[in-house]
Amino acid sequence: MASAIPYDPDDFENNNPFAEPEDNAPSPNPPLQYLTPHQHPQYHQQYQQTQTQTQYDQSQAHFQAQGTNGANDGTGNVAESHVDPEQLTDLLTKKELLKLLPERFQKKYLLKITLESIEKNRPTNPIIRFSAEVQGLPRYRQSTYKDIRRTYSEVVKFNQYLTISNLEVFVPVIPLPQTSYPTGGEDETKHLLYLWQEWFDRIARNPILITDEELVYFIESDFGYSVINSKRRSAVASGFMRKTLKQLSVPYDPFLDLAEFRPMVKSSYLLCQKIHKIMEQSQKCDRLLSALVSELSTKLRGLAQFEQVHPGMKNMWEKFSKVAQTQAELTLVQLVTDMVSIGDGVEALANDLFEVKEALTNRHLIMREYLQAQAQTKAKQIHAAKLKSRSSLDPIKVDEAINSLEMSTMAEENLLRQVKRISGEMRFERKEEINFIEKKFHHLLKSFTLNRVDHHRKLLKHLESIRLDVRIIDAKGGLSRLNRDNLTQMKHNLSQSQAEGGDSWSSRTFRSLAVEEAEKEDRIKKRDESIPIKVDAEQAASLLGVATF
Amino acid sequence: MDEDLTASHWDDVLLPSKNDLSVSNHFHSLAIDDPHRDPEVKVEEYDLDNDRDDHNDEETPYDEGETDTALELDRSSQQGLYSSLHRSFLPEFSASAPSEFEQEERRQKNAAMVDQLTAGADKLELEAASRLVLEIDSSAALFADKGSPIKIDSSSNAAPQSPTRAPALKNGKLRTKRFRKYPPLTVVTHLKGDVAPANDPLLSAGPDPSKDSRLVSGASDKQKEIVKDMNAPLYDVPSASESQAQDHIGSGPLLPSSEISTEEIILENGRKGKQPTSSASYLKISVGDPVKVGDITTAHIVYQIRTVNDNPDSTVFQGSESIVSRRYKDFRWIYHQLQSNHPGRIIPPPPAKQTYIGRFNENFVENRRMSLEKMLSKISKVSCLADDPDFIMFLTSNDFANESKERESASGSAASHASLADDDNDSSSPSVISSSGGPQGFISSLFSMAPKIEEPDEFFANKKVYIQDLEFNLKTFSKSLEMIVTQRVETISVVEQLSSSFEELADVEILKKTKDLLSAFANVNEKLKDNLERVNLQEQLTLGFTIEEYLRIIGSIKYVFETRTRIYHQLHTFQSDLSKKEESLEKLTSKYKSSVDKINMLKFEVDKLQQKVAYFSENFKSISETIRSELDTFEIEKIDDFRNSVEIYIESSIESQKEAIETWETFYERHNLSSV
Repeated sequence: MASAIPYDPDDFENNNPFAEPEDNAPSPNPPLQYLTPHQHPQYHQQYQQTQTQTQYDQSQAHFQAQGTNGANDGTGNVAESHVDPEQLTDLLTKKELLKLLPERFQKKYLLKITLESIEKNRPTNPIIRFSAEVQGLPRYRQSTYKDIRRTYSEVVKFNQYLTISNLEVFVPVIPLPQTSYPTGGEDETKHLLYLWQEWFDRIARNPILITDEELVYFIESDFGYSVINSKRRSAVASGFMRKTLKQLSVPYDPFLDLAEFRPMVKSSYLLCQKIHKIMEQSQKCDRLLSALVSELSTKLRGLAQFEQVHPGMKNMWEKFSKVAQTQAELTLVQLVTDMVSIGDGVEALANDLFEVKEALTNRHLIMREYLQAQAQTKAKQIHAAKLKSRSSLDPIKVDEAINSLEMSTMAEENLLRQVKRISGEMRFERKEEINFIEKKFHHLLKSFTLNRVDHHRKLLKHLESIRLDVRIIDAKGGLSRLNRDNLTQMKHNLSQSQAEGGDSWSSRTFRSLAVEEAEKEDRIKKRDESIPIKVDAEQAASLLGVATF
Repeated sequence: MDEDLTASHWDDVLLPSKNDLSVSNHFHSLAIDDPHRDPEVKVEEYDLDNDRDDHNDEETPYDEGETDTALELDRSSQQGLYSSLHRSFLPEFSASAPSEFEQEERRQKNAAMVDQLTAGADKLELEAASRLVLEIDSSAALFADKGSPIKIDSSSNAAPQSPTRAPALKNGKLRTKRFRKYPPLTVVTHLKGDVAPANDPLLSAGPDPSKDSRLVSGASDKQKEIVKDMNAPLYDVPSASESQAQDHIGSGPLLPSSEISTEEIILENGRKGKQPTSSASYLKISVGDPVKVGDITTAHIVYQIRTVNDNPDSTVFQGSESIVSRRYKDFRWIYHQLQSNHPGRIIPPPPAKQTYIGRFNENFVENRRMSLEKMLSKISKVSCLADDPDFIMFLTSNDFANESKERESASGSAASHASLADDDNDSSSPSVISSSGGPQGFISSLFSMAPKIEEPDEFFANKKVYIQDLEFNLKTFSKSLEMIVTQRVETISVVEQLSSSFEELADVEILKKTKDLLSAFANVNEKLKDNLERVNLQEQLTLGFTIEEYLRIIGSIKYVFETRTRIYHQLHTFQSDLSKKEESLEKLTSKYKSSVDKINMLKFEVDKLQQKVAYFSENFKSISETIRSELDTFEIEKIDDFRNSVEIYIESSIESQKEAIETWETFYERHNLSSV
């Protein structure tokens, strides 16, 4: 712990939990601006120093010790950072971020992927056909690519590669090849189109992913793509090793937001899984219920056939049976749409959240590696110091010691930079992910609600339509006419309650379905008007998205 | 027991006119002391044979005799004489019969004696009695109306004739009242089976029911009917002409005039009987307040029955309101009692029995309570059932346990046995009392060796098939409803889980906005769950309830069919017997050699059989008629009930759909989902 690494100010900069990559936090910024110009020359200077000699400034060593202490223990770190203005130096400054994450700040890259269709293949392996448009990205030979065709399994491999090679990114998970809609139906195709477009958009919007070299191959290669950089192995531990490492306590995380993010993601992931299970259960229940109701309908029909005495009763039973049949069918439709909206949606979310969780775990593992490297450097330094303090210096041993110290320092530095880059990027990604989740939930619940409203409205309509059949059975006109004279003159209040002007039972004129319809028509009109205008990915997504409901 | 009833009647009668209190009290004490009964009975014992010949009022045993005397006295308005007569009786008797005898004992003895005496004759006697009662009734009613301002004039017209008229009428009325509690009469019928045949000389006088113990119930039914007839006109205010006649008769000679008026009133009665104005349609019965009583071994639920009588003129149902508590077993009792009292009638049945477990389940109790209430109100809507004394007793008696036993043994219905041994398959189990067996009971048909007899009436054959089909249809319907209900319970639990999971997810708090949305969604699901629960309950309470009720009614119908078949079987046996006997009689008479004794014997037997056949065929006809009309009403009611329950179901589903739409729309609007 007492090791004093001369070029360590970077480590300090890592230390402030209040650090925000953007300059929306005014309080830490002023000292930062004042410190950085001062700090950086020092950093370079010291770096040069280490290359030439192991001697270092005593005062700085002291200063550094404090820093590493804080970084490793994580105790009293926050308090210190308040007390000592110099601690604030370890913010991930914008400048540093610029250096570490140049992609985030360069707006010159643009990739547009437009999904064209999903071609039928084997059910689990459909072919996705899309076109791409590239601007400002290096290594692309054309600016537009048309009719790129990739099979599902190819995309899966590509996705896997992305996850492995981009540790700093929460790589979006590709949608499932099938939905809960009946296979091959129009609804399924629409829904899949929407989901795939969403995925492509997320990939294309990510500044780091679009610079990935593999994406070039993915877009440029002809039919039959395979991952070119397939030799790249995961940089972090996997399998059993990973499991073991996960058992260890989490290393200190200087970024509070990221530190809090993982448990949140984890519980969300578990809950989403749970909800998905419940939805499946509910689907099963509904299916049974639907079967039972349709059985009831046949029973009612039997009763109707049996009723010979009173034609009105026969009619009533028949109509009732029809309504029961409709109810059964509506329940079937409802269970499918429920499953698609919440069931599938939550499942996809769960997959996504799982990937986020794994990425965060990877970050922890890299942080742990960095800590190990730091400890190693420290040990090397102690060794070198020992050598130095000896009366007789063996030049070979000194050389060796210096070399190994250099090596480990380099490794440590490398890891540090990696940790910083990952942390910096993930703080962006985190916001995007949260927004995405929020949007997704809104979307799911919206479609779910609309489906439910639709379901209930249809059922209500059918129920209301047989009212008269029940009432005309006798002259009394049913229970609604109880104790009233002049029955023949009275009108039945049989008007449909869902008239044009709003629902009769409530003063609310707003109707979700009507609003949806209107919006849809609006959009179609707009699109018709603006055919020459390019439909950008987002717009296309929203269009496609709405089409399913 | 006799005493209790008397007392209650006294009290009831006393209520309207307090000024008669002293007199009636006087009489009351007399009645309790019973001083004049013994002598009368004794006299009758001696005079019995003579009396029988002219089926007239004089020979009446016990009550009737009393009434007759009273009646005569009434007519002649010689109340002073009468009361003095009684008064003279009292010292006489108390002198002759030492008062150390226990009063109870004596009365029982008397009753037994009277029973023996009156055994076979009861039917005729009763008829005679009923005539008398009717006659007296009209005047009594007239008198009872004294309270109302309208009638005062007419009664005051009659009044001046003698100042003692009022108490006299009072007496008459009181006596007639006594007819309505028939313990002695019913006891007679009960005893008849074992005792009467041996020593009753009147066996051959009428269609004799006492030989065949099976007939007992039938006979007693007849008695009941007669009793009912007696009861019915009690509240009938006599028409003007009649009352005039009464007035006239009152001053005229005694016996002949009473004969005439009897005739008149029988006619009147026959007319009225067809359109009985009873307390029936005015009874409002509610069953409520189920309370669990008893310790672990005897725990059961007691329901409180509150009956409100809106028909103050009703004399069947005394008082305007009564509150009694009954348990489930008692409902079964009244059901079986009514079944045996009214053969051929479809009695609204009580809910089915429940296994031991879950008896105190709240839902179950509530369901049962509803069914019981429905049963009682349905019974009360059928006038002849509502006026059934057993039913009234059931609604009013405070000492139900004893009275029910008494009445049960009186009518020989064995209702409690039936309710004990009872009907897990209500429909097919033949009643315990007669084991002659319907077509369904295999074992019983083996024992009775009754050959399968073709159904004589196609209507009934068709109806039987129809009812069976209906039962099958309803059963499958009810089963699939039940399954839907259970399935929906599962769905409800899933919705609940979903709601709680979303609540948890909201607690993760990814973003404040999302949290609100998710918890609102959880809330909506919670509401949806309630909605579903209500739908389920509604379905159970409307469709499920009605179907269950009708399945039970079908059980009742089947029972009615069985009763009919049973009677038909008996008729058939007797008929075949009769033809056999007639054949042999013919043979015997064609042969001149045969002994006169044998021929006489056979003749006697044939006679008896003919009577039996006549009796049974009449019985059979009447029950068939009743069943026909009952089935017609059943069809009408069925249409009504099912229509109503389907309507309620549909209306309530419409409401629940509206509620669901509203819930979702509100959610959509409040969270601005249209902007997503």
